[in-house]
Parts: sequence; C-alpha cells; structure tokens
Amino acid sequence: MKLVKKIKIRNELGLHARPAALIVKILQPTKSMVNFTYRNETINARSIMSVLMLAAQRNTLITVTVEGDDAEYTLSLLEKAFENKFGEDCCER
Amino acid sequence: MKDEREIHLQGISLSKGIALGIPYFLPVIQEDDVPEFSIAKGDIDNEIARYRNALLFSRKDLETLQDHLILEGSSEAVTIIDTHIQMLEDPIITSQVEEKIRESNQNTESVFTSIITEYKRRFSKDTDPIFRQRFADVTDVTQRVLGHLIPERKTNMVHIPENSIIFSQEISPSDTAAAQVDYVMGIVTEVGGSTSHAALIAKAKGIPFVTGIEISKIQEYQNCFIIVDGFKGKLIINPRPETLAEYKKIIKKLITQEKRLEKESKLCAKTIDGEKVHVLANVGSAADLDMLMKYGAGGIGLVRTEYFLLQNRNFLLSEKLQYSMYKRCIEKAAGLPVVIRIFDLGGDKFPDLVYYKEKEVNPFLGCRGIRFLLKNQEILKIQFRAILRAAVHGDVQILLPLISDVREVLETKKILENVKKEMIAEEVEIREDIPIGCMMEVPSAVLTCDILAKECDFFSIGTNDLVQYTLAVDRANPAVHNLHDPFHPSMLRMIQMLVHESKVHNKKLSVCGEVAYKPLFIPLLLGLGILHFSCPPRYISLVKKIVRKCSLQETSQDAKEALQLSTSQQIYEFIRKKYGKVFPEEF
Repeated sequence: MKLVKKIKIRNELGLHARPAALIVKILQPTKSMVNFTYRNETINARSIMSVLMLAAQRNTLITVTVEGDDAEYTLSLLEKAFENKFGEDCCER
Repeated sequence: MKDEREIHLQGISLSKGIALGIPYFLPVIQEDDVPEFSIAKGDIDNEIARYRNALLFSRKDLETLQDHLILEGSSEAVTIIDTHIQMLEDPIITSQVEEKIRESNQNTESVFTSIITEYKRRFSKDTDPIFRQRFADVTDVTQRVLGHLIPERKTNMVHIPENSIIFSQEISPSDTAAAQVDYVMGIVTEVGGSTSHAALIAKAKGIPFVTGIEISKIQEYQNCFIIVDGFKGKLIINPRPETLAEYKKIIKKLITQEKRLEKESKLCAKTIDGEKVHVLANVGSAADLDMLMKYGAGGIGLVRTEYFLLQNRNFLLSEKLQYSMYKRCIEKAAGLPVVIRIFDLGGDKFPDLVYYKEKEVNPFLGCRGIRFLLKNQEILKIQFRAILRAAVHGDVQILLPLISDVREVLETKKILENVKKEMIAEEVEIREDIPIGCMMEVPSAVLTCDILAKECDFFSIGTNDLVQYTLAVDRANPAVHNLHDPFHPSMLRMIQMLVHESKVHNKKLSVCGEVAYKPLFIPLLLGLGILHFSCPPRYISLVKKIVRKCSLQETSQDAKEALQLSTSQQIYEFIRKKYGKVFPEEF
C-alpha cells in the first residue's frame, strides 16, 4: 500500500535534531519505505542526517510518502508525532 | 615578565556556579588533516571492515558515556547522545561510505571525511542558527569515528588534572558529557550558545560554563589562578586576595546551607509521645533524586513518572530509558521503599497525548490517569516491563492514579499479570511480588475503599485532586479558587473513613498531596491517624520538625473536636489558635 499525505510542521523550531531523532526512532520498528519531500527535495526519513538537511521550518508542509505493508500504521505514528509537536511546546505546566 | 594584575573578563553564562582552578587548554584538532591514499583492490573488504569497526567502537563509547550520564542523572544529556548514535549509524551515510570505498579505491578516513564535508557544506548553507548548531554535533560524531580510525587523533577528557578550568575555542557535547566533575571545575569557551548541547549537558552536570571569552588572550595566563563566575558570566584571572576571599565566602555560604540541611535531616520524626512518623519524598526529576539523602527522606513515597516526560518524550515508549530511571530511583533510595506511580496523564498534564483524537471539553472529568493507560495499553505494558525489571533491585511498589472503580484495579492487575507471564517466558529477570496501591483522589474510590482494599495492598491520598473532585472546585479557576479548601469538613471525614477502613483491612495509608507539608494541616492529619507522609524533598525537614512538636494523644483529641465543627473556617481557626503558637516560625 502506498500512502501520500501532507503534514504541517507545528513545533516551534522545525525539524531540528530532537524531532529528527524521534522520527528515526519511531520508524525503527516499522517496515515501510518512508520519504519526506520538502521544497522539491525528497529524502529517506530513516536517515537523521537527511531529515536534518531538509532544515524544514515551522508552519511549512512536508509531503510524507509511505509505502509498504504497514504503511497505514507507520503513517499514523508519524502523524501523531507531528501533531504532538514532538513533545516540545506543551511541556510547561 | 609575568603579569600579576587582577583581570576581569566579561562573557556570557551558560551554566551557573563558581569554579576556582588552573587553566587546561584542550588540544586543537585539525579537521582536514586526514591522510589520503589509494588502496589495493584486495584490501577493499579490509577497509570496509575497518570502517565498520570504527562505528562499532564509537557506538560502544557513546553507550558507555550514556551509562555514566544515567548514573549522574543527566537524562537531557542521554537524549543528546542518542542523536549522536543515530548520526553515527545513519543508513545513508554508511552506505555512501562503503560504496565510495569500493568505487574509488581510497582509504576509509579520506572517503568518510569527504562525505561528511559535503554534508557540512550543505549544513552551513543553511541560515537558521538552530540547524547550524547541529554542525557541532556532526563534527563531534565525525571526530569520534576518526579517532578510532587514526588512534593518535583521539582527544581524551579522562586525563585532565584536578582543579582544571577547561579552555577551548568550542567544546563538543560528548567532551562535556565525559568531563569528570571531580577534575573539571569549570568550562570557558569562545563560541557556544545557550541552546547548544554542550551547554545543556554542562547545566545538567552542574559545571559552571562561561562563553564569549577570547581564548587566545588567555594563553599567556596558563599558570595563573582563575575564577569562573557562572552566576555573572565572568572570568577573573589572578584574583587579588580580597577577591579570592569574597569568592571563598560565597562558596562557603553555599556549602553551609547544604550542611545545615544535612544536619537537620538526620533527626528523625517522632511525636512527643514517641510515635514514629514516616516522611518520604515525592520525586519528579533527577534533581529531586539528588536531594533525597541530603534531606533525610525515609524513601520515595511517590515517583511522578509522567514528569520525566518533561525532560524526554522518548521516555514514554522506551523500556530502556524507563528501566534505567527507575533503577536509579531505587539505588538512590538505598533499600528504602520506592512507590512508583504509573503515568498520570491527562487533565492538565500532557493534554496533547490524551486529546490526540478529540479535544475533551472537560479534561479533568475525562480520559485521565488510569483511564488513559487502560485505553493505551501499549504504554502501560512498556512501563510495567520497565518497573518489573527495575524492581529486582529494591523495595518497589506500584501506585495507580485516578482510581474511581474497582474494575479499573482488576483490569490493570490482569495486564500486569500478563506482562509478568510474558517476561517470565522470555526469561527476563523480574520481581513478581510487587504490592499494588490505589491513589485516593476521587470520592467514589474513598467511599468504596473497603471494596478496593480487597484488591490492593495500600492507599495513597492525593489531596489536591480529592479536594477538587469532592468540592467540585477547579483550583485553576480564579473565580472559585478560594473554595479549594482542604480544611473542609468533608475532607476530614473522608480521611477519617480511610484511616478506619485501612486499619480494618490492614492496609498502609499515606498522604502525598500538598497538605502533607502545610504546617497547620499536619497536626490534623496526625490526629486523624496518618503516620505516612510524602512531600517534595525540600519540605521533608519542615514536616519532621512539626511532627516532633506534636503529641499523638493531643492531636487525636484535636481531630475529634475538629470533626464536630461545621465549616472550614471554624476548623482552620481552631487549629490555628492551638498550633499557630507551637510553631510560629513556620508561617
């Protein structure tokens, strides 16, 4: 199965080291091929360096392409992580 | 001729504290200085093996470093090193390096360096400073790998003499992480940002760190005495005797404060009539843990596991991170009991995790505490696994948040039993006989505590929530804030009921809410029959002090009288009249 979805980057600092690391970690147990497309550049989301290279900023959209048997599950994990802003903005009590 | 004047240099503070010491200049490494040569076709596999070995050794270094950091309680630093491991094992870079070695017949270190240089070129193109700061991390990882390929290149933070103030153009996160606090007193650099990983790690380790100082200027003072003032972001070279005396005074003051606390904390908590009261600590961060022994905690009465998520979101789904944190709690408690409350999420804590699908209109009456965990059992299972493993190291108890119905206890216990079975089948070493307790923070739980008592081993009263749910008062709402009152007659009755039922069923009962350290409420709690308290570490000596001034006989008489009164004002006045004089200095 192949799924394509545009996801908005909502956390303040964009896809910097911690979110990139979190994405790679989330993807580790999954099997699908996962690509991110940002400003005409497509990269393998399992590579932290490639994700960092995108330097994707807040409030921009990235296109996530997931292909494989667990595509649906993989995409849902990613969506949740983006939605939660990688746990960044909500930590103050 | 040696200059003996006192020199003040103003920089920027990245980590607080005062350090006195002698400069130690970290050797400068020339990044581009890598040998380049061709290799024979037959040696290609060998060359690739060298690369893989270097990655393997680097990973081992980083994991060892993480183990130390976990022991030190720098979970922030552990996460940073995690990103280094991922950079190290980046699948694209590793395959590029291996491919290029095969194609170009060049030696590993030159191929590796050229690929990294290309990445760095693209990084520096980026104008966003946040992304450029990651440059330092990439360099750090690269240097580590090169250090294993060319052994003479390795820098070593291990052989730094005692009382050193580290001076360097810039310091890498992993060097900061590896700095031994007994030897490295302070760090001074020319370049560094407050959000740099090196700064975060220095803070976590409590090493004073000042940046913005021109290092070349310091070279001539290499044998001089230096003060790093991490409070003011200042550097003082050749301090005059008076300056030194002033700083020694500050250090002495910091130490006296610690000592006074330590002394007081050793006194035990016995009432005038000799009843021993247990005062334990609520723990929500690594810093709290470090204070445990200093403040004389009788164990950990409440580990607020959800608070560890503040430092690291990966904590939620990582058995490894959780295990090491719980193990650390247990080790710090040194044989004393440790009550681990499983994630209490929802309400005002991490709403984003709970309202993922639908925002709740009334989160405090929504998917909170145990309800959230039973709906997200994968989270619960990982946490149970980590606790069961850690529990072999000490006296561990599990506490369930926001119980309102016995079925929740039964379901949670069933999941726990299944996890145990799974782990036994996997032959993982676990502790099987862990007591399970219920938080008493919902009126329905209090009113059915006799039913709950049959299914659990102990109770812990969470007074803040119990007041909120009993009096139907949102304490964050300023319009009704003054109605949030633990002195309300309903609270006294609930506590009385819980004390009675837990005696009948022979269950331990403790109080872990804010009232446990409200001076005037303590005699009331004692009088009602509460002998187990849990409060933030810094309040432990206060609670003990108050306990030592009370008599159990007298307080129980007071509690009886208080129970006859009809308003919270009357109860408060009654207690204030009686005890306001007994410990006036606490107000």
